[in-house]
Amino acid sequence: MAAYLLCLTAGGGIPIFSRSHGDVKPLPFPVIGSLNAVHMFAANHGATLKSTTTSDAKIVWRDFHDSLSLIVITGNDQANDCHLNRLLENVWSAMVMLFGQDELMNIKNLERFKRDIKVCFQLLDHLLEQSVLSTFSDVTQAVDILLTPDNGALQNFLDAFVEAAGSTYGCLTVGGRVAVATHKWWSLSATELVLLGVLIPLLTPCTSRDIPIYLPQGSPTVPHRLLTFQVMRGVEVCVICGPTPSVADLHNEVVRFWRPAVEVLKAAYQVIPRYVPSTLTLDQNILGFLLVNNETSRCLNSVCVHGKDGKEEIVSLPKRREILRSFYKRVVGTYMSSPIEGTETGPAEFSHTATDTYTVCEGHKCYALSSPPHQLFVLYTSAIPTFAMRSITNKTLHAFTKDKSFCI
Amino acid sequence: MIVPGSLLDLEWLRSNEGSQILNCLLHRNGTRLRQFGLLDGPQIPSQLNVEEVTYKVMLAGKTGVGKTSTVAKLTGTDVPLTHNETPGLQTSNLYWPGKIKHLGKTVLFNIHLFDAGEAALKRYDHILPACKDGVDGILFLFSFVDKGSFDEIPQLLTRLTNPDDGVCKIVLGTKFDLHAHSEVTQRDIRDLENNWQIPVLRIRNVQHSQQAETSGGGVGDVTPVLNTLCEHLWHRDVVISGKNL
Repeated sequence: MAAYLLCLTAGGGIPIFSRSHGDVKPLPFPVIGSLNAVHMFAANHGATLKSTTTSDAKIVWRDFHDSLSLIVITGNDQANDCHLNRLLENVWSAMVMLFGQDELMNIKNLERFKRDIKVCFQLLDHLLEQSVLSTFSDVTQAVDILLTPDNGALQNFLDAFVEAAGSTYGCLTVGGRVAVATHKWWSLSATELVLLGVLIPLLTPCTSRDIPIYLPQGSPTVPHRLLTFQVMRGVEVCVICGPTPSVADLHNEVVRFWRPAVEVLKAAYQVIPRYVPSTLTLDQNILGFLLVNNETSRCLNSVCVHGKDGKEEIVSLPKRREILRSFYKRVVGTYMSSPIEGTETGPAEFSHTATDTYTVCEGHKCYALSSPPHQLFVLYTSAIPTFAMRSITNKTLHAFTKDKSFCI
Repeated sequence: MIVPGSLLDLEWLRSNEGSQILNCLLHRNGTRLRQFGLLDGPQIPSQLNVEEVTYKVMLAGKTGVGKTSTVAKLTGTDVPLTHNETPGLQTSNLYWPGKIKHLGKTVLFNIHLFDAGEAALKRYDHILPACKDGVDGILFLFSFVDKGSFDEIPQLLTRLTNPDDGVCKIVLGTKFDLHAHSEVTQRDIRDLENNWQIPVLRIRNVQHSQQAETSGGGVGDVTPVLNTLCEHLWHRDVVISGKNL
């Protein structure tokens, strides 16, 4: 789905940047000007213009700290506005993460700001891609994880290494998803977890990195260093440090601490693209699922549950992700709530709390189950009997939650 | 400036021994170099008696000239299609074999490339020391379609190095595939080479299509640059050990 993201100064409406996704022409300046003008017109009359819907598009406005205005324009997917507001919140946090809050809230030199803010573009463009992403963390506000056969061993290796690096924040990513992380890493805010989870696999592949980052909730004005190390193909170890140690210093430590873990890491890599160990069996009719833990901000998902199941002609893998994503956006905010702001208003209109909902479509069926703190969204083939979806979804949730070694 | 081929045997890569070792470093289809994580490395048969030497090389140049793309091209990863400002510092490991002529020895060069975004270098003080400390060589990059980046090379040279600091210096011009629109003339390049006694190489960080990658076409693009870089690094080691004797 095509999307535009515009950033202007809050006071003067001066355009800072304009990003887009999809096969669309850049927005002409007069259009940008009138979008801002109508927002300022409302503000001058004591009202806040939040969103508007046209026949095929939706526009959402948001001001941040009286400094910057963000406007997002996407196709109309019938979802609640809260999801687009979440996107803008993530965009602002992404800018804080790579640029720092001080300068974002007080722009001194506009030309230099326009040049320097380009460091965020890669992350912003990725967030705009939305429906074509292979991960769900941006919409669930929970970081994508995977379950490996031996999470316990990986946790030990990670804790030892992070301590040797003089830090308490560290994680191990396999195939771009978080496998294990230190206790302090999990205590980061949901936005920080999601953005870090998105940023790390997004950057140009290389052996190691030293990136200055700000934590939008934990440390928006004081930068820390995000160090990442590629230990094997598809496996990265990440640490958040202060001024020391340097990347070169840690290279040797990485080899020393992780060389004994080579076999465990190789076994962890084999889990891709199922993202769930083969010891866990799931119903044959499941094409894909999305399991979110709203308390711990973790999101386990897969659209390749049974390997090459021969059903890709009916529902291709990208299509499965798209269906799960739009099912999530339709259910959360309308029938079920989540920590995302604005999702309580829809469910509040009902006299009871919905725990299950489902849809039946031509080529597939979807079922959503809410069992706090978990929410499970499952995509089934159309062959499954509709009345059976409830019990199978319950069984699936039980399979994930009963095993204590699975930290979801 | 040293004459190409005076220290390294440039034909050796085509020999049986050379191509056997090179194959250990390439992808299965033989078109580009493989990437190794920190825990793994090339599996070279020990009977070939190859010594591994490690070097640290930094890339310097104006934003947008193609430092990150050059690293991608040299290491065999996908060259980015759009320009994205590098946030902070990125390092990549690169393995390249060479035969030292006068010693008859086979050496595996393990080069650590340090690439930092220009904005990050200016904003944060820890990044430049992280790149420069203990560096063995610096690659100064300019773009053939940006005269400003070429004019900045002398400033970078004076700012980052001294004539006697024992750091190997090479200038590399990127976007050479666009040389029809080049703003940098051959005379400019000759003048730079003569004034500074530094070789100026050319590279085009273009991602080859499948059809173009025949008979090592993909590796063929980076072979001259890597050979020259390794030769200069080895030469600089020889000079330094000569001074120490």
